[in-house]
Amino acid sequence: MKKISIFAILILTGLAAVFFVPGIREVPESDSTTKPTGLKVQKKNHVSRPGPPQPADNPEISIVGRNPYDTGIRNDQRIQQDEDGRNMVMEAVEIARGLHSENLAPEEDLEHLNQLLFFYRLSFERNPVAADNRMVMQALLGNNPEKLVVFPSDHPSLDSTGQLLDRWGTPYFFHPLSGTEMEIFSAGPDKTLNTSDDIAWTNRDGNPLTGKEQTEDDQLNAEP
Amino acid sequence: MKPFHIHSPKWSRRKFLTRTGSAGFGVTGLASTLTNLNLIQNASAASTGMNMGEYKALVCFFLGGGCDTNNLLIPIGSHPGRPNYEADRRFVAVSEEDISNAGTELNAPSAGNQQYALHPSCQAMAQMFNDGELAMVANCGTLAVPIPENVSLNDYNATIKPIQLFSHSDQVNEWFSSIPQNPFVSGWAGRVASLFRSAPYSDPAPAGQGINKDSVASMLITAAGSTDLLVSPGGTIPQYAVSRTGAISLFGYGSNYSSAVQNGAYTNNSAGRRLRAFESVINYEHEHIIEQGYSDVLKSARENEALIGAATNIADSAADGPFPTDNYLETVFLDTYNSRIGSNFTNATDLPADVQEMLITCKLIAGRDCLGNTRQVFFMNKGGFDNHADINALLPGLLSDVDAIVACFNEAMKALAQYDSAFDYNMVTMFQASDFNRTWTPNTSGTDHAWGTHVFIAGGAVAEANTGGSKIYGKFPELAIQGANDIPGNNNRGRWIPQISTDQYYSRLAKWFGVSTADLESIFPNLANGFSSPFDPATNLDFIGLT
Repeated sequence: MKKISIFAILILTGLAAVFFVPGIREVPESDSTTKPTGLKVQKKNHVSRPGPPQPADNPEISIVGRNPYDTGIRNDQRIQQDEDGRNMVMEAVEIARGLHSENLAPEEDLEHLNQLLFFYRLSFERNPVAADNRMVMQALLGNNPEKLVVFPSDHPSLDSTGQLLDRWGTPYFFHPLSGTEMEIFSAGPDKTLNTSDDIAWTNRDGNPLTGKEQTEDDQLNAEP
Repeated sequence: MKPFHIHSPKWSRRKFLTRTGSAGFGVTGLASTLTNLNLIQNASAASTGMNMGEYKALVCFFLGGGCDTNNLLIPIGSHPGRPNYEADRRFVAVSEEDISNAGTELNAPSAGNQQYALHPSCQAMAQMFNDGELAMVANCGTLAVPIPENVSLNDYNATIKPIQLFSHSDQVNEWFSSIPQNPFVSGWAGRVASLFRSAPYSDPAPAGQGINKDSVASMLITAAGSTDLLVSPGGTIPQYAVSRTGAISLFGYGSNYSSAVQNGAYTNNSAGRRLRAFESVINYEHEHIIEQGYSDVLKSARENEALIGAATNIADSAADGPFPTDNYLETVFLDTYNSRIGSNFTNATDLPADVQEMLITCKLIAGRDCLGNTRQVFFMNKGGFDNHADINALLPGLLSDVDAIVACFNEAMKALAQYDSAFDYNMVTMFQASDFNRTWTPNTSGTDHAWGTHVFIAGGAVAEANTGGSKIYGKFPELAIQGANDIPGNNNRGRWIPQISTDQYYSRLAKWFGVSTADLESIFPNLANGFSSPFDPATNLDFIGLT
């Protein structure tokens, strides 16, 4: 009788823990629009920003192995095939669709573009092998080994040549620094690149578009 | 394949003291060396018995950012590419009038009706080309396997290509490694250094005269900070970085250690006691391998510091070195640079940083005896070529600087040959590299990342191979959008697929440098991937002799 009582108490304690201890009973749904954080976009006078996002910095994005979309799980809702057999990364496509929306500041457009490249890197480890806007967009549109689509082909900001235009109608300028770091530039409202209203996604000082290196005097005179 | 033997630098205390001029003072390291210039003469005298006749050096001149060499080597006159040049390059095209006014047309009789010029900013280089002292190699770049002209899109897509084409850092690494299909492990010059450390590396030197057999310091020296070109396998051979003025001294002991050392002895003050304590500590033997490794790095740095200081002092002091006056090389540089640029600098420290990098390189060549190497590789860099915008405003000045630096190097080597009986003009070869070429068609005010590029090589050994006039080596591209050399596809802006690989280009240099034919494929493994032999006349790469 005594043993039965002890077992009963243990079972009741376990059930109580399941129902009353926070965090065990309910698992919050992940935010489908979760995005890499901690990055800044600067106007023409750049200020250093943190390095490129790493998976470890984004706990909301679950990663299994090297390729988060290669989980082996059937009917993974994060990936949906279109009629052409391409694999749409729904989370990325959703971000892409929000590009240039009224809710976003122009600077945030570049942040979102960098997020799309981040999704690409999650699968391929490196940025698209690309030297310009068209080549970047071809890769993001699914012209890649896994037919992974992180940008929808019916996006209104794609022009007839496959270039992605900024909210003022000028093609973005993509500048590959390395396999994991891509600078992005918008020509801004005046639609002319290399002018004071440009918006740049970069962590370099000086003027990355001209390749002009900072002199020691420039560095001394730079704002802290 | 010849295995690389990895071992630490081996040189005796006696040899070190002799080299650095520190004998008799009981102070190991740079301190006494720098403060007693008279002792430098001992180092110089001690090395006069070496056979320096086999000395050779390579100087890598890297143009960081991806130089638009479509405007460095320009088709002119009846060249079939000239109409396309003007039509496609539009506002970045250099007019024939500007070229004519500058007089930078190239005399390349072997090119037939293909007339060329260098950019109008490159007057000295054009003169060197016409004198046979500078050669150009057309359309060279990173390749894992050959990619033929007129390659189809399908074949192109199926071909193994360099990792991350068009990205700066990847392409720089791949130009240095020359194994572009793999992640970076080592630079080709670092691999050559490892090979030569399999001492004595006796091919082609006579028996008993192995390359670098009397080495007391790394043969890998950079004047532009650490570089992947000089990374050896496993990092077994360190690259020594020098500042623009020479050795990098310890901080906090006064100029040339004057606060810590006087008359060859430690001073009786805090600086002297600190330096003595520091040098005692780094000479401790440690049982733990990492502790010992750390201590060895410090000791090696101090020893190299002493040697570099001695070498630059030989170059600067008329009493100790070969030149008729003090600071003779600085005078050569100032005269040449001022003449080319139209400036009035009177002090070498006023020269631009990259010119000073070349100056210290030439000083170390002049003081080479102190380092005991019969082979050396130097690295220097000039950045600023990533001209996506304002290229017309920027490129002429950049190329003018390049022209002046090449001219300074050339004049310095001639001066050294004139005054140093153990040195010949043909002992040092400069070779140029860059991230990539830029697009044939411009954007709104600049040009963007591309691939195959034109490079130049300069020096006395080039002159020996070009006694009948210099040439455009390799194969000049067709210069046509969607033409034989453009990357196939529907996004054509004139990104030339290289027809000469970096392996083929470097192999000629490495063979001249002393790497045996049998060892070339261990340095450049991609040579076995179907590239034509760089020594086959049909490959058209005989810009330098092989011995």
